[in-house]
Amino acid sequence: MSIDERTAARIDDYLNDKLSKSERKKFESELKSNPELADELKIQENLLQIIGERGITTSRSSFSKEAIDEVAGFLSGDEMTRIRKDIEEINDRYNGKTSKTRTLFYQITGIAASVLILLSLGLTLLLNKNGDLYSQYKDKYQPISMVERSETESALSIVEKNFNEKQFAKVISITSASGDLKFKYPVMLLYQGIAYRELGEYPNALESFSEFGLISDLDTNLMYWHQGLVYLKADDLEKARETFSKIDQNGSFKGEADVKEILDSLK
Amino acid sequence: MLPFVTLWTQLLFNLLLEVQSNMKEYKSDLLSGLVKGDKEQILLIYQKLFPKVLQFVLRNNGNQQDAEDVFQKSLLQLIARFKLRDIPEIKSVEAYLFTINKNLWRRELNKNEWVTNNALFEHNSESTQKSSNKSNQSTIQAYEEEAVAFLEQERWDLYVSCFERLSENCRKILAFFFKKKPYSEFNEEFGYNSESVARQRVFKCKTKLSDIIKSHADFKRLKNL
Repeated sequence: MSIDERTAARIDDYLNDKLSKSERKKFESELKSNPELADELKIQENLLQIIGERGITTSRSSFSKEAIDEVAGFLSGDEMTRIRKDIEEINDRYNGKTSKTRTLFYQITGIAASVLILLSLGLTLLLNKNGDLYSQYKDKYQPISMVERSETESALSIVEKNFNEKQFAKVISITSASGDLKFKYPVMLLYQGIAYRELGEYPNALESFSEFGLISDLDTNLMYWHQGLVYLKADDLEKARETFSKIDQNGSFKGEADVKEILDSLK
Repeated sequence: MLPFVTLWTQLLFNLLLEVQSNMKEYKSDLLSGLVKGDKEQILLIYQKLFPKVLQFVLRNNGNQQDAEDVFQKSLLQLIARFKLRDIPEIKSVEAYLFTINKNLWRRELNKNEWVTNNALFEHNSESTQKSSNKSNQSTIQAYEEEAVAFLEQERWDLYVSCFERLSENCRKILAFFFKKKPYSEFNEEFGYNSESVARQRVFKCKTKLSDIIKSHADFKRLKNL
């Protein structure tokens, strides 16, 4: 049965704390003896949270024990426990973490890998000249911090913090979700590009640097520097030479001497 | 000239149909992959949606770990919903999952204490090491908390689906009302002559919505105690 307009107005006043102390007391005692009124109040309260976009504030006591037990039983069953483990594993994989259960496995394989690394080190040193070149220059000419001292919670400061801590997957996650902020802080695209480069995602790295070049025309040489390092790491020597040559032709780059050294090594 | 235009229109139409069918295929792949526990599909959901959830949590007093916890819980909740119930038709998997994430995070913020933070995920990997009564008790509590969040989302979906059955005008009026816009703005927006007309319209729409909700098959099961 629907309620009348006067009762609806009383419910609104109750929810908006507009009833006097005595009116409130009377209303609350009516609620105890009138289940229809109590249902209507709960419906309006829920609508205020859902349609009014306030978020959920209900508690455990607002559902029957049977309803909670049914769902909790299902969630704690074997099937959902297996799925829960799978999700945790994917979460770790996506966020670049090592799961606790896999730590031992990694420790053992880590020792085996170390032996292999030692054995192959000599060969690597001989063959991986470009890798050396990349390692020698990869940390030079990083983006300059744009964060004010008072800014500790901004997206840019979080990106910088994660970048400095070498949390590259996080840097990519945050910068990818930053939307139009990249127009305000194009430097975010540099951080993103370097993060992709560090994780070996070269096409994505090049795309980030190109986007940076389109938005910001202030640091073109810096963009070429980091693009060149992508090619160097990816072993595309011709492209690397081509890109570093652009800096050489433009001039006015603080790392001109380094560029010349790289170009000499690539000859 | 005319056959040329017709050919182009046909090509464009076919292209649109193809895009639409690819979208449907993508949506159903994503959903069925999620329900089957297909790790590659779940990873795809991570790539598409996690950055957005992370941004939301960071902007609302949370950190990376909170975002990861909430995202894992949301995936689990959606899978459980599929397995346990018929869920309402979803227009977009990403949009629906994002709503679940927002609700879960707001719920955590509204809670008095952070009791269940990741307790179940920790329990799974450490259950062989820790089996004290205390941890079992907190695990049961954590499952119950997840169940309450599950039921809250079900109730949320019920209310939203009932709200969507109203006329466009009623939806607009009630959105104004529940977002606490002053009645003077109603007159401006809907062209009413007086506040009493606005109040009557709000009352009629509210009554209609309340009747739809109460007649829903799941209302009794999900109504607040």
